[in-house]
Amino acid sequence: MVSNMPHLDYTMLDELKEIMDDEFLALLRAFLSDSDTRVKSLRVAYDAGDHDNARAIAHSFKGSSGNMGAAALSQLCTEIEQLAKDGRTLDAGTLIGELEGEYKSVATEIMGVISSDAKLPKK
Amino acid sequence: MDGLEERPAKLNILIADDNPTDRMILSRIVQSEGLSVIEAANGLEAVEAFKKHRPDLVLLDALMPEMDGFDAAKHIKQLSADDLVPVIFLTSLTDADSLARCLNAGGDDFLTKPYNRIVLKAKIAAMTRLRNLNKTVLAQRDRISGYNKHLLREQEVAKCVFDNIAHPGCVDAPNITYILSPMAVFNGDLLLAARSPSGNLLVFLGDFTGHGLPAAIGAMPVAEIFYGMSLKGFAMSEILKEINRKLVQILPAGVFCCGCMAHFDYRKNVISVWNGGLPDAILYRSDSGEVEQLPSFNLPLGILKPDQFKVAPKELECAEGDQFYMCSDGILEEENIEGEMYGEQRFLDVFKNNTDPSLIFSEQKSALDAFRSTDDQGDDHSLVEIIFRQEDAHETAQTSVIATESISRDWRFSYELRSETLRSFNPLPLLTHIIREEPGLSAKSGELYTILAELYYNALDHGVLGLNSQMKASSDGFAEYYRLKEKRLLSLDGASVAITLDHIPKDNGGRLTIQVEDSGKGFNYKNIDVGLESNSGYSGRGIPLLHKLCERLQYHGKGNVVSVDYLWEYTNKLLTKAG
Amino acid sequence: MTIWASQSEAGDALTIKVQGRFDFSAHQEFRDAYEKSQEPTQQYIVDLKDTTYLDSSALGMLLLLRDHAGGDTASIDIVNCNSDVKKILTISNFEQLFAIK
Repeated sequence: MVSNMPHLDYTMLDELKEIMDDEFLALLRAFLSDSDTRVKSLRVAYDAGDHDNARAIAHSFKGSSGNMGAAALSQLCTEIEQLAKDGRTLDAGTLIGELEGEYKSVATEIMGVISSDAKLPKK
Repeated sequence: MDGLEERPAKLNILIADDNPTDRMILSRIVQSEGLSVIEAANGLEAVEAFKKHRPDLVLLDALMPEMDGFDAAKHIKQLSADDLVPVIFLTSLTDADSLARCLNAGGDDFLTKPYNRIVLKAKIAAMTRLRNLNKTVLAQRDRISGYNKHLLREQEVAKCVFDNIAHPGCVDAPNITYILSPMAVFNGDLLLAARSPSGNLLVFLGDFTGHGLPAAIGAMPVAEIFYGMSLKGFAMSEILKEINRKLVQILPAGVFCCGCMAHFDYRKNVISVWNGGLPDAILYRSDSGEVEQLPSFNLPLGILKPDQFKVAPKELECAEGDQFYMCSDGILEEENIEGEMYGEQRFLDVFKNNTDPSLIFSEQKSALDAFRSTDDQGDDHSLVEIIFRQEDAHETAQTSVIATESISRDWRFSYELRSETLRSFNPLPLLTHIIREEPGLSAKSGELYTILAELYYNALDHGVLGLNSQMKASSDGFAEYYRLKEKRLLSLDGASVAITLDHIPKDNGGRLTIQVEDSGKGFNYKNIDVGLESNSGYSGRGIPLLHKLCERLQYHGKGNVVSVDYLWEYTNKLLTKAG
Repeated sequence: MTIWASQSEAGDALTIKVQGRFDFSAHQEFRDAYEKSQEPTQQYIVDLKDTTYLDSSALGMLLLLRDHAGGDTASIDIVNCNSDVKKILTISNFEQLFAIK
């Protein structure tokens, strides 16, 4: 089901752009740099079988990706968080793989937005 | 509302979220509402930022590193104390347990991720209203408590003024025991006690309707009249009339003073009691254990106009050691846990069950304590016990007066009272007042009051009214004596009593001659050795006492004229001062 | 505590009934009962049939009514007192000012 969802909800992104105004690009860049760290540390927590860390990272990532309009990414986080919460972090291997892939797509799209937006003249 | 007026130009909002993008988005939404933002990346930072900036509203992420939102909320709620700082939890948690945890930690609301700008704005507005409402309530609370403090301060000042007026009293004499709240005057209860110039004791227990300042305002003139007039030797009935007159004049209709006044005459062994609206006063005969109830037969003070207000105190013979009780209705209306009132019967039972009269007062107190539902000392109940026993009679009246110069004047004063005046007027205060004008005599006014009273009442009762003092020997005769006196006074016609005070200066003092002449038929004094300290049929005339106090006592004419000499000297102390 | 006032048919007598505790809390209502009456009242009847308790401020309110009704010329009956209420009126000797029945 996740695969059927769009990587980014552009309506939400437009809304964000309106809210953030001249900080919109900064927000997108912050999301990318924060998310790079999270995706990597989630993999580390998985390898170590560290339920608590896996859960905390997935929870936080769930929130931020949800706010960015990355619903599929957020959904994957929810599922990983639930497994970690149940002490089944080791069963999350497939999901983490999916998440890394999904994030790659989201990041690509966001970078696209950044480059197209950066070319637009300031209001 | 005041709370809105105090609203600062820009509300401060603390946003704590470990996720930088979420924080950025929230900050931006909040700023776009014209509010200023303080950011924190975890719970610890949030608590520190709260201490430093005292924000108006806190948005807290539930799960954060270092310290989570739950603990941070608890700290923040503790730090804000009375001040309501709403905490909104930011959460993507959706299960009921987690949401309940937010509330238990002190959260006031939630905001779920992803954020919805409209919902967030509405929530901030709602929380701001809540905060303003709380501010208004706090401001009102502080104002009320300020008023209350102010009122208490004012009461203390008023109490101090009242104590200054009531100060000369002798309520702390060894024969008087009482329960009275220290601030009783603001509950309308009032206890006054004074010695008259003759050394007799006058006690008043009053209970004003109402509480607080109105009650205290009434108490002031009552105390002033009571002390002023008793010091000058006015009789109880005159003091009561004056108090009533004053209260009618100053109190609004509907405010009055229930009260009981008792006069203890130690020489005649008589208690006179006037009760207007207090529960029955009690006279306890210490030898027989007999209890005599003295109910209220009068309207309270401050109701009847002066011309309608009549005073007829009840006169009771009594003996040394008899005990007298007055209480306010607060005692009898004290309620227990079931809401049942203490009542008169329980009060009377204490007397009935008593075996040692000296314990009655403490037994009354403990019976009441055992009955009442709370540990609170009731504020508006007063109980007083007076033992019929003379205590240092002349001390109070004399120590307060010190002559400032050793002079002695030469003067004479004559005063004649005719029938109408004899019926209704007591000349003793006036005479005492005149005597006190002589500096050296002012300190002796107690003794002189006694002498004047003896001479005047001998002339009136035995000379003018022809009453036989031996009547008073028996209990029935005693009552009959006062009944006859009342009756004969009413039909008095063409009678008179003339009093002459003649003062001549002497070395270091003077001689006061008092002559009293009555219109009666006199008596055969020639056969009586007036110098004998005997009770030979004239005991009622207090002759032995007069002999003790005076240099010379002499009857003249047909026995209707009597004169005494009273010699006085300045004491050494005063001499030194004068020299 | 509740207070009812009712005017007689002829309009010259006003009956005031006090139910429950007659104390300071009744102050305004009791006052309204006779002050708001439009008729020229000659006779007042205070019915204490359902009055359970009466305190000294109630005595004060009765005195205010007496004042309103003309002081010494007032005609006020206090009726249907139970024994506790009667005792309180008696201690204060209010029978000298009111017809207590």
